[in-house]
Amino acid sequence: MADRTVIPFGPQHPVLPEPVHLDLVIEDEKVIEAIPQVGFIHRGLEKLVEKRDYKSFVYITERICGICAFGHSLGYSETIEALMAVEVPPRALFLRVIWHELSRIHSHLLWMGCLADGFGYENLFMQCWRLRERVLDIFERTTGGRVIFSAVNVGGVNHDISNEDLRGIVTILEDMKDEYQVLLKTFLLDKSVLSRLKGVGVLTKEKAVEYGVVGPFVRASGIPDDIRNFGYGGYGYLEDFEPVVSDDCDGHARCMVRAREVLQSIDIIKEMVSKIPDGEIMTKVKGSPADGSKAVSRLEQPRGESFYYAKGNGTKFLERFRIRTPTSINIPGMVFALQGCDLADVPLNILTIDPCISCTER
Amino acid sequence: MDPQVYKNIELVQFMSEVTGYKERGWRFVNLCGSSVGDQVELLCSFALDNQLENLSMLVSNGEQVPAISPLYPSAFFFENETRDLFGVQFEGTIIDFAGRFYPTSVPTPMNPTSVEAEAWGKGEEVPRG
Repeated sequence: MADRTVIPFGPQHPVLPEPVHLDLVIEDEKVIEAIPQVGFIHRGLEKLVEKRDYKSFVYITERICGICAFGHSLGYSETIEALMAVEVPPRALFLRVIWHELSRIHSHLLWMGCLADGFGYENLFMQCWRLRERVLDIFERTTGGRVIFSAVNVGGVNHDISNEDLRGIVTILEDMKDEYQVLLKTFLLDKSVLSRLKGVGVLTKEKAVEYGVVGPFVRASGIPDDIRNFGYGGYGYLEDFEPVVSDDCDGHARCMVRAREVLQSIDIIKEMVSKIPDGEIMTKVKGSPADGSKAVSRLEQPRGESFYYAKGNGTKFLERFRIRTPTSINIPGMVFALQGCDLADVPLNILTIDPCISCTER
Repeated sequence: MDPQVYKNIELVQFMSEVTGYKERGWRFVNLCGSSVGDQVELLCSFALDNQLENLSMLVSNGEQVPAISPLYPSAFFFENETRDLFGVQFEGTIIDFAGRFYPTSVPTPMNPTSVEAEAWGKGEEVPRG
């Protein structure tokens, strides 16, 4: 038996945008075991709910993560609305879906760029981020912000988008779609992409179930788990929704799922724009969550299912607020997917689950 | 909107309930704590398709809670987190960081009996050990 070596990986590494550390137990350049360590950027944001009233805490949830900002404020607002039985106006539900799907497009394009950068395809990286800029421009035009939007609040949304601007967004996305098809072809068929991702980091359907992974990670293992399928919020108005799934179970399958989800999100936005009703965008919320009241909700973030829990105590401050992010439940599956892979494939393997440590540690 | 299903159970029922979910094919979603008086309320959530159920139970300081990570490996993350933030002790966690998962400036900052947490809540200077 060859000697075993432990190689520390991270928290600072060229391919990792965020700090996670792994102790890699190596034998003949193969990973035998990977032991994860987080905790480098734990900020205790959940505890801050004791010091911010439930309406202003929505702005804290946005700051949990720069990429999932909109999703976290949406998940928080939906949880408080469930806690206080608030009815959200239909137009606000549609606008929430439009911004949320735009966030998914920008998150996936950012990830695709990082992946391309990870395997040294600099031109592909730049093309992905160039396209992503157009989505950020839409955010800036509709909310005034490119990263933090402050668009959602408990009871609805803070900003409306005129029907003319909505049609303009569809035109921008249609133009983008043509250019994106070229990138998509590269990600799905290019030899150099396939050589780095095909057959790497396999997580079988059985193991995906065992480890309870979520998002594109689980859908790339052949399981059609997608919370949008259950029709929460504005997603209930969609004619038809079919999650993007692959049975290949490897790194390339995860890339394929995200790449196709960009096109799916564009189609969702088009459908929402064609159906959006006129009317109010905010329901006025009065009072405070009752003492002992509890609510849970789930949301399909770009990286997968997020879980939110809130508990009231009769005051304007919540007793408890909890976010369980996709990465925190995907880390054990990622550790398994690393077992047996070559040391050189570890960075890309980690990238294919799209870890977000800011969200995870909060 | 997700269904709001909460089952209040005793600590002794915890493992049999979790084993039941595992046998019926439910997946683990979340484990977290919150304060109820000077006890910690553990909330453990499971999902199957569009169904979501939450187990809720009270744990006193010093009580040992059986770890569910041998059944649901992804729970190790949450057991370590709940130990560090609330001081809840889990028995049998598959990857046990022994209280060094999150480097907090004060020990168990979210435990209701934590002196440091109480000082923070009152806006007083937090004693650092």
